[in-house]
Amino acid sequence: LIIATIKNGKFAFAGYLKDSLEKVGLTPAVIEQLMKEESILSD
Amino acid sequence: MAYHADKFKVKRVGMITTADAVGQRLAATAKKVGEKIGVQVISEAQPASDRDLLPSLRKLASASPAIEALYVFGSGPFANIAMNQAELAGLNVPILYTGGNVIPSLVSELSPAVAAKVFFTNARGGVGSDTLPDNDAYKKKIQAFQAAYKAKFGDDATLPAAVGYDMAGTIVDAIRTVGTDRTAIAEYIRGKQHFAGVQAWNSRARKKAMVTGSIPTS
Repeated sequence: LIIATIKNGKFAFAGYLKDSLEKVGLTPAVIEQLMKEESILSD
Repeated sequence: MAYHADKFKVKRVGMITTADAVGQRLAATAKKVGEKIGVQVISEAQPASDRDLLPSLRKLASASPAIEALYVFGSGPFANIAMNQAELAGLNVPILYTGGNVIPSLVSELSPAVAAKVFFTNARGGVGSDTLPDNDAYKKKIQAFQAAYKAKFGDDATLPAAVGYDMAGTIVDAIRTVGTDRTAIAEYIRGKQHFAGVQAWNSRARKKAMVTGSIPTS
């Protein structure tokens, strides 16, 4: 997934979501745990 | 929210959401995610049918300490009105958006000043391929998809088109591999498929490996 914005009247690339997730510590394991806590994923 | 914490170093986010079960659930989840990354989330809600969202936006604008980003959740007029009315409420901050409006009307209905401050999660195929970095692994595939779509339909491919194309691709790949038996298709997609679409992989085994750390995220 990417982060998008609007430039010159069109959707435009702004960055990779993965880069920001890593920088703030939201690793795939942390995200999976959060999804389980929120009952979005089952154990 | 991770992007805003990373790029804009925000520590306090004000959220406006629809006053329904989905909106309230998302607000609760946003607060929980915020706790994980050191971002405080405060929220206000109004009915999705409201067209004057200034009451909630003004509450967020007067929060102390001040919010450093606005998080808008909702689809249809609610979200676009919230973003456009933010400045009227005195909110001149980056906006993060989640909802179903990632379609051309988002571009046409937001003022240019607001549009430049809006950021949202998207699939690669939902942006102009010319704006992707040249070293993006999917750029050439997306360019070809968007050119073929425009040639066939006479319009730019939007997020639903790009995502729908890849979703259909997973089923086409399954039928080509295991035939038309429903159970076999489901088992194949859930456990064995390694399908590279126009803009991403579909592989549950690959996703599991990312979670366990045995392969890097990509």
